[in-house]
Amino acid sequence: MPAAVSPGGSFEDRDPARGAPLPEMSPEDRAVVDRLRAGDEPTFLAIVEKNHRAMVRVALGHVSSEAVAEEVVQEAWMGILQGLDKFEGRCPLRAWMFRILVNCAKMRGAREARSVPFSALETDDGEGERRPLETFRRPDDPRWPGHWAQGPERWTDDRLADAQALARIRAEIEKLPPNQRQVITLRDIEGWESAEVCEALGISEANQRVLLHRARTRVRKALAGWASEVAP
Amino acid sequence: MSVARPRDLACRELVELLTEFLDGVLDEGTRTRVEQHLVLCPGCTEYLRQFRATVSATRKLAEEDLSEPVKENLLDAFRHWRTGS
Amino acid sequence: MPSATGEPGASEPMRAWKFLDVGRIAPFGGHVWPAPSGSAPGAWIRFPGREVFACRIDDLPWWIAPELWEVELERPLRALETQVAAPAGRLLRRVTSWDEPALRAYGDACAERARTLAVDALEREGRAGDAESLRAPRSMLELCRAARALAVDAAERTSSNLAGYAAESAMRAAEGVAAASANITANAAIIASGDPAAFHRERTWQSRWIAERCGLAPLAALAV
Repeated sequence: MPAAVSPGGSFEDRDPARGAPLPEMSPEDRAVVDRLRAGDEPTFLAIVEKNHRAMVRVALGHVSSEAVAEEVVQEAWMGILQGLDKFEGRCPLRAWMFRILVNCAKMRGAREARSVPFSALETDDGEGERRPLETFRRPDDPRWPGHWAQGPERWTDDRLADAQALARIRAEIEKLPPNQRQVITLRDIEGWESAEVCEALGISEANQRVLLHRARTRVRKALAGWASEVAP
Repeated sequence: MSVARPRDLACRELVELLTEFLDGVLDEGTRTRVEQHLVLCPGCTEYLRQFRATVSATRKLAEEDLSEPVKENLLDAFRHWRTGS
Repeated sequence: MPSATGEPGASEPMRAWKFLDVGRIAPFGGHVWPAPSGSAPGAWIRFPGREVFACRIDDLPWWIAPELWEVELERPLRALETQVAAPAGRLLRRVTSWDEPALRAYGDACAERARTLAVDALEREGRAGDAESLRAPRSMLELCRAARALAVDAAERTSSNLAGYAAESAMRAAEGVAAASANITANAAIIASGDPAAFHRERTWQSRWIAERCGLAPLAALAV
């Protein structure tokens, strides 16, 4: 019945939406900032590595290609380092870093739009993949309008265990509209708390949740279509 | 013919509430209605299971793939910043 | 719906019941309730900022699951419409008479109630032959088939609608999804009587069925 959960742990333990109000500079942030200001290279490389994938994906929300996104990330790092001496810790370091990144990405995206016409990002489900057969009963159904007519086909427990499933998820995320892709990347791939995502992207909690929900719904649906393809 | 309890959650409405449900931000009344519906609806129970499995699997995409040249570039910039300021 | 009445000076834990998924797993939180060992209760389970929930007898039909346990709840209790909330709880003993056959029997019993509602309506509307055809089937699947045939009705008569509910209830009972069967029947009761309160009357019938099947004594002390 419920999804498998580690023994003794509950799915909602993380409680990502109930994060505490953003604090004064945390001891962890303080330590990092001090070390960076002291020129500590391992610390710098550690944060760069930890955040690289997320930064590229967030930048991709505003620019036309992964190559450009990588450039934007490097530009953003310049801005982050230059601003570091003035960082006061009124928000978490990571959120502040990503704000700078988003600004760089937006500016670069605006420049691109003026000089390079790029096609709208793909949003179609297609690729000839089978749609899952799930349907709801019609609004004029006599007894159960809006209930499942044909419910979702059951997934076996190990359905998502292999690399192919992950590849399918990755592919679907790449096809999402940019704002959905940013949110699902930060919340579900990188495991950020709700409040921090809102802080970094400059969006409201309600808006963030709507985007996350749409993104997750699309990914699940893609997996359901894929799963029904591989069903024996 | 008429629906007996029109205010009961339909499956179509429930699936739209799942992100809020998992984030724990639904008000108590709505959360209770979601849970009550799950008890009696195998379709929505399976859907929620798939939704959770999708989120769990997505977590595994976290990776660091920083290429050497990019790393070197950034390290240069870092050293430059420290000595320059 | 019980009202919240304080028992002055009462600080002992209260007893109630709890439905869990197989392996003592909480159906929505996913956590595992610690098992009792021998006659000793299981360890207390508590979460900062969250409550545990349990059932009074009348709450049971809302929360059907494979395992039924007798539990103890720490005070203060908070009475809700279909459950009781507490800061902590622990398992006392498994209600072993709530097993797979009991779950199936419950579903079948609810489907039988749906059949009765449809048969009575058919009689009231002068459809004696149809009523008989619905009385006849012995198995849930046969009942489902017979009822489904009567459900399709261009005239959209109430008795046909009730046959539709009976078909659905019987199908769910046959599938072993007793909670669905019960809910369908409770909904049918409203259509049969034209009275929304019939839903809760049917729920009460269902909770009595479970209590009787499992020998659950109403815990009179569970006034909150």
